[in-house]
Amino acid sequence: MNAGTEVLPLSCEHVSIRYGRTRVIDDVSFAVPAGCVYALLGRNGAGKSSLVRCLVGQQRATAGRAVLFGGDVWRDRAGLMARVGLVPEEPDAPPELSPARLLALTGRLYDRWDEAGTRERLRRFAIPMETPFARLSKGQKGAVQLALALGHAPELLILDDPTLGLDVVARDQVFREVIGELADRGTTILITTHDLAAIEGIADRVGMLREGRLVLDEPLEAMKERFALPLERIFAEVTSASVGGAR
Amino acid sequence: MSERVAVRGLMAIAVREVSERAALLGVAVFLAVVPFVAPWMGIGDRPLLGAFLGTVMVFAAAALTGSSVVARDLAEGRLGFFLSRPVPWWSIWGGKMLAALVLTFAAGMIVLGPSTLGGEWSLPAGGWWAMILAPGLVALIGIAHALAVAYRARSAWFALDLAMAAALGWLVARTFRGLMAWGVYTGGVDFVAPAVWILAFAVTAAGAAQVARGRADIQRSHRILAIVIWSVLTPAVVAYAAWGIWISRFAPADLRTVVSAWPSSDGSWIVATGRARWPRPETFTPTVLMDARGQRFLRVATARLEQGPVFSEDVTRAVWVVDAWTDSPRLMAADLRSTPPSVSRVPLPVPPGAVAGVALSADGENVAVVQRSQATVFKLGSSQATVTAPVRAAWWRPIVFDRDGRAHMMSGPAEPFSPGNLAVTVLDPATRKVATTGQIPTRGHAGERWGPGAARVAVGDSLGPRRPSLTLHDGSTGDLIATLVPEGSAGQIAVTFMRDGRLAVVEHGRRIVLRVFSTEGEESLSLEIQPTFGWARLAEVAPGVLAVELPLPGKAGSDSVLVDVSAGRVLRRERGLRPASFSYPFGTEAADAGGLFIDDRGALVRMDVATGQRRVVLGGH
Repeated sequence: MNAGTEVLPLSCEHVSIRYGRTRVIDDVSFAVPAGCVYALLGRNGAGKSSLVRCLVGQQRATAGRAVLFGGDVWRDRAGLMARVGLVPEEPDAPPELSPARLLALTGRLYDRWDEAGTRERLRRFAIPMETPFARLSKGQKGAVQLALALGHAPELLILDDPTLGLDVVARDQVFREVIGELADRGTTILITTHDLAAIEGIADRVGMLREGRLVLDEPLEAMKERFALPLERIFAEVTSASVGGAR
Repeated sequence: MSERVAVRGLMAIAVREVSERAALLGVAVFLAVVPFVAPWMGIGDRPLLGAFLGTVMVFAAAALTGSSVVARDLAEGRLGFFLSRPVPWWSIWGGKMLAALVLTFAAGMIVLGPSTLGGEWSLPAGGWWAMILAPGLVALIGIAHALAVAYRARSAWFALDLAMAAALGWLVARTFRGLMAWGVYTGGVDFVAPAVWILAFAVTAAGAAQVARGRADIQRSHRILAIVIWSVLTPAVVAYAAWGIWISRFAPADLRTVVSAWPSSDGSWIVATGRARWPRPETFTPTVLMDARGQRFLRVATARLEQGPVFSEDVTRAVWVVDAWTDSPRLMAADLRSTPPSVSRVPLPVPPGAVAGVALSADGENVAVVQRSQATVFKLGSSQATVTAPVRAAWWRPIVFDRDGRAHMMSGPAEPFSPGNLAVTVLDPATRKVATTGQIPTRGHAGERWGPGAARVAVGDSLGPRRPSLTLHDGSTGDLIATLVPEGSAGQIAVTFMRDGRLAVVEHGRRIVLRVFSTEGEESLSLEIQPTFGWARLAEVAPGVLAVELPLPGKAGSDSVLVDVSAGRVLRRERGLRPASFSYPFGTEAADAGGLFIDDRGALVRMDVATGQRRVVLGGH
């Protein structure tokens, strides 16, 4: 990053991921400017979750690198995670801990932690505080993960298919919370999903993955204008066939 | 990210892991009660049960915690919960390992504590166990962790793990056995403790590297884990194997001190047993067969495991038995004419069992072997048994060839420490016949020494704690020729046959007296060596010259008094020297034509008996 230029919250530089001989992500590059809501779309098995794990330093890219706030996330994962919140596709909190104990545990892992705010958010989500995490519903688990991801007021929030398996009510709740946070803080957001309707109103920019390659990356409104099609149609066409003008 | 948060994170993770597995401590509490309740119900011995359950608990806790703290989270995709927080890898790994250690230690203490506090048993003194226990627990947890990751990853690297474990295990076992064959025991705490530390380091470092570099990717985690573990263990095991090979490649010059030595009849070859120089281990006590000029040598075995070597009269051949005291003894034969001398293993045509005595005929054609219940004479060239005899042999049992090629030995008595008869047994390979040619009554605790050509045999009774006696017998018929030392006339005795067949006896106790008897039992010399209390041994160090060893009270060394038997006088007293061939263990005498002594520094010294001039042959530095 040159002096004087804006430090991007997230940039993905020629990232490739392979599992043995299987290529999951192939030379993917994109950047998310500060305050932007970037929706990374792809069908199931498109490699979104693998890419997210690379973006948060949990998995090493076969080639390329992920850069958060100007730092290589593989090298400086711990330092950068203080500025990042992650909601993984599969809830990963210790199953035997209740939300109350999860809150206490997570708070001890951060320098800055908004205990009251997080507790209030969990209350708004109507989460039973003493029920073990494993016994919460899918929607409740997602809500707990989201609350824990926002507890340290991250500058970058990464949501990996946060509405997967949620009913309509729970899904709307998650997105309302995200939108609320956005309004309050101007947080940069990367969201991977195939829930196109949900991101329609909130995404600034959209990227689409097909067979591990980023075949489209542009502002949502510009894209809709260019294709003159609803987002669902664009997605269907882009992710099932090659598209002229795709990156 | 601050260090404070990292340490706080480590502790938070550790506390979370411990609280998740608190049930383990509940099981430990239950097991702690069992030893106090079970004896009421007639089950088991309380201290034994407590120790057993405690040991089981420690192992089970280590295996359970080690296999779950990281591997389960990794396999179930939950390690990301901590990896997406601003805590370094060492907080995650350290917290989980700390929890596993605390749980294992606490569970063990809960079960073992009550019995220990009750004084029913205690840990061994010296604290050496801590050198193994501490790294042992870490190693156990780390191994359980590595196995769990390997199992859950289900990658092709698991095949590599199995192959490497098998290869290194085989190399360790082979080296261990090889070293054992040379009398170097590497199963003691001095060797096991470093090995356990290395193992603990390998699995701990591997686990740390796995979390640091493998993170949430279980395939990559397993790969890193395997690479680190085998990168640490392979050089360590290879170094151990190389050290084992180096140990066994010793040369005579590697002997620091000589313990015993004896020459062949013409003095051209020397058998020397000694301790090797550092960095070979102190316990390594090999035997070498070397020519007197030190230019050719053979590695024989380790002193504790061998019988022999014994030479043919023309000193062209030598045989010895390796692993003599095991059920699978091996006979080795050397051709001393070739350069370098060649050694070959000769099949032993005897039933499985320890070898209590071995002899080689004067012409080197026949070998005689004594076992607990059988004596066998066989051809060295063909391993064809020519004659066997049922015998009774307790521990060492000498067997000797006479000038006509017949093997003589004593058989019996039925109870070695009780009165009974020694049967003079003669095995004749020419006629393939066995004959019991005489009976010699003993009072118990009998021991025999054969004279040159088996013409005479001296039998000592009660050479142990009771007052000794000594009789001289015909070597074929067992007929009593003379009672040389009646019971009660001497405190202790030591005997040696001289090369001309005379028998020398040193009586020691309140004073030390040397007596020499002819082959017919007539006393030809009685010479007071020391008028005061002492202890002595003797050997013929040159034709007609005896050396009486006088250990120096309160000191490590000995002096030797040289006696010219023909002149009947003391030649001189040699300071700091003892005859080398006392340990010749075969019931016959090592005719020492070369005047071999061992000095105070442990050097094997050849001394010119006439002039007193000394020359170091081996060791002593």
